[in-house]
Amino acid sequence: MIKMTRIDYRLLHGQVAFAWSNFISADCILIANDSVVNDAMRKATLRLAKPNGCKLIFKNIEDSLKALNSDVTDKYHLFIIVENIVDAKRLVQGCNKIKELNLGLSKKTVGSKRISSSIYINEEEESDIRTMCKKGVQIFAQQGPTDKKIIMNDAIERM
Amino acid sequence: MIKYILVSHGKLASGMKSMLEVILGKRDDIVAIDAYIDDFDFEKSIQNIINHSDLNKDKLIFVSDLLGGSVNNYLLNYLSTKNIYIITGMNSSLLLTLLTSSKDKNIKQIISQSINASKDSIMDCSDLDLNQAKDDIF
Repeated sequence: MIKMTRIDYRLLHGQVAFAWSNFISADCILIANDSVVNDAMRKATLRLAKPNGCKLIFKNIEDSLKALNSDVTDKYHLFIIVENIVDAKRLVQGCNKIKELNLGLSKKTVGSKRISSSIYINEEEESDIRTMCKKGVQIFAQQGPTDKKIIMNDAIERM
Repeated sequence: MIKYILVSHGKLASGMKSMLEVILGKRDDIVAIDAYIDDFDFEKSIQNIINHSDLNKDKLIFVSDLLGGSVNNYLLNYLSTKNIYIITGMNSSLLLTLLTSSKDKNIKQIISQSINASKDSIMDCSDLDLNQAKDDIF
């Protein structure tokens, strides 16, 4: 069962490892990312943040979709983390089980605009978010579990 | 209700509280007492907290900075008081584990798990073998 899918450019860090995974009672974290899976150093550092009693799995987007669309992930309280909006869109398009998407942290880049306290998007990402909205995914901004959950779908449609 | 009282020489306690709130969000169950930075008597602050708690149902977990230090030595006066727990050797990993452990578990168990997690979190990073770890699978 997917408990949460989150966009966070830092992937697994203190706030995610301690606050979020505890808040949603995750027992398995999937880092869905095409480059991390082949980067031993980055995987090793992310592994240091792995919460006790929680699995940490690295897969590229394609293999993540294969796993999500089979039944192997069903027995877990699964917490999926992607690095950016494009990767989130690829997951959403390839898997109907993702009904909600948490906008956690995205980096400010040249030409990006701020749509919530910790989320900046460029034009391409705006269109990706729109695509996910159209598919019926509930998109919410919330950095930490004690922050207010702000549902963004209406605002995105008006943008 | 469980209350966590951080007590330190200088501003470690309030600094730790600030760290915890960055990661966990605002918490009203954490009190920080910074001792010896002004004329304020930290012993009185501790007595106040204890006097204002109902130790028949509330639990107070004190975390101090230094074994053998005067702050922890003072806390030891309460060692046999019901529902008061005293931990020393304050660090981030200890506090994060303590504060995020399931409230359903036995407190002694949570404390011992948190201490073990914090011991494991202290390491010389130059000794880390980054290539050795095996990947988990579904």
